[in-house]
Amino acid sequence: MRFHRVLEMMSFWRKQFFLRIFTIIFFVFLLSSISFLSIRVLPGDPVEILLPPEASAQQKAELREELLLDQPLVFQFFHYWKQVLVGDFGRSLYFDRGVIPLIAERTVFSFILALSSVFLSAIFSLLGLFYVWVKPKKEAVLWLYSSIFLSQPVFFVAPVLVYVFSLKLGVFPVSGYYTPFHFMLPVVTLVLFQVSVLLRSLLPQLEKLRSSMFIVSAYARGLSRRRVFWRHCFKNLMVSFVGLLSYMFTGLVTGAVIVEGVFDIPGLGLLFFEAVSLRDFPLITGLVLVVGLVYVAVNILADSLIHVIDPRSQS
Amino acid sequence: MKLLFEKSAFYIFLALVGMSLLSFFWTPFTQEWIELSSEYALPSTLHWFGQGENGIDVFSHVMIGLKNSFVLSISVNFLSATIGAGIGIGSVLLGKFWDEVLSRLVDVFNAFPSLIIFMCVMAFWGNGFLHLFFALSVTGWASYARVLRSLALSTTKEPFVEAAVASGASSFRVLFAHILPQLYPVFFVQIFLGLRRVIFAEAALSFLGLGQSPETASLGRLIAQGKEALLVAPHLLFIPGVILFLLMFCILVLGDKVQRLWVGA
Repeated sequence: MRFHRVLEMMSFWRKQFFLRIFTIIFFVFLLSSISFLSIRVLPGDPVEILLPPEASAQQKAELREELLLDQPLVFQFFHYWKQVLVGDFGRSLYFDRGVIPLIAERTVFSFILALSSVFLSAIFSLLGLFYVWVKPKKEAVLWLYSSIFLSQPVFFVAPVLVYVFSLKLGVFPVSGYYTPFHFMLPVVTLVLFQVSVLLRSLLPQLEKLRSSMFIVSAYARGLSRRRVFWRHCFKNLMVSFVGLLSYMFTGLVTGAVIVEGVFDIPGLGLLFFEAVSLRDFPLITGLVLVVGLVYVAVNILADSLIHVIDPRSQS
Repeated sequence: MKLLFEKSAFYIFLALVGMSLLSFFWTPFTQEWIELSSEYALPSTLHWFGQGENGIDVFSHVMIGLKNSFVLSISVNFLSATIGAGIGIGSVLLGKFWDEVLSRLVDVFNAFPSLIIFMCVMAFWGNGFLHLFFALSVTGWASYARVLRSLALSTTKEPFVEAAVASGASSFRVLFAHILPQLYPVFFVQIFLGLRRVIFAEAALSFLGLGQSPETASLGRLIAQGKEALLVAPHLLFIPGVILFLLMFCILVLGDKVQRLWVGA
């Protein structure tokens, strides 16, 4: 990257950075406050879930005091944010561990799943686009593929893959997270779906490029189809490509609940599901903050990447 | 070939809608009917799709599940399309400041993983139709607003709108006679996407046990039960899964057709 591009990026950052950060931090604050307040206002007492039914009233009162549940809501709210600002997210009620180490441990699995599936689906969809560019008649085939896999519920295909490959053929393990083999089926499930999403929004763009002037002129200069694709189309598609990938990544880090549940991978999505079902509210609020932070980080990264790829995208 | 494809998609869709409409009046067995002695039975002439957990009649449950999906998705989309259209068109009409504020909000709602919001709402409030309706409507309006805003914005810059304003048409008339007719086709295509989104989300939440209340039939819960019985009776996974897939696929194909006919490729 040349020096003036770096400077350009810096000025872009200064302009965009604060506005974007501000809105997003505001949203994360709002969301975690809403989750904080709604957990406490809505029915479902965590003390009832945490303690066995035969616990005495005194034990319940002690736990309530320990969790500050006997204090007024406003006090709890400010106490929570004070603690968060000094980096203390509290302890998980159910797992009885600090929220931060717990989340950090689970994040590893989520990141393995999200990164590998996003990477693979990027590669496969690019190859698919390239194939369609070289052989325009095959577009209908890929369109059909994307229609089919866009319509399959992930929670149906994941058990089907388990049934076929694990139970009938015995190629892959059913569930777990001990070897790379265990990640094979979940990643395949996700890639099948994501490639269809990518193809569906990129194929029409590719068709539009076919008739644009700079492509025609590239052909007129005698470039081969292959070269035209990688030199000219690829760069034009990159902007929406990066946007889609970043969107997918944020979705996957916490949204892969179903795949994680079916294949029993202890990622963030499953942790969130557990936290929500157990009303483990330090964990829920911590997770909401983490989701927000991942969202902020990926968004900023994608925005600056898009700006480097296409300097016209100032706004 | 393509026409045949679209025709068959249309007829399958009609059949599914017919099944769900029929379930308002009649189902082979009631929702509560169970037969513990023949749990996980294979399809037979009496039970067309076999019998599931506790020996429920899967065919009846598929019918009622389809009905519930349709009712939920149509009602959610009715609300979220109204709100989304209002916010999308309103942000263009209200001027630069509100446009900036509202489109930021729309961006956030569009990009934030909505499953998180669904899970929070459903887990705290409990299962049930009304809670699903609320959770899905809260996030559903954003995609309507995004699409309609960008289209309304480009339409206001069209020469014919300028000409209408120059010839002295009231802003009310410009909106209803010139801008809105341009938005109808895209709006209609969005409704297809919205239907898909809600049916998917409801099924996923019911699969996780956070959707429809346990006594209500749902395709997602049928799939979850089929997954549990995968070793004993794989047809209990495949039948509701394929039905849900067909429903999604038909809506997608029909939406594409409408898009091609009204909006252009």
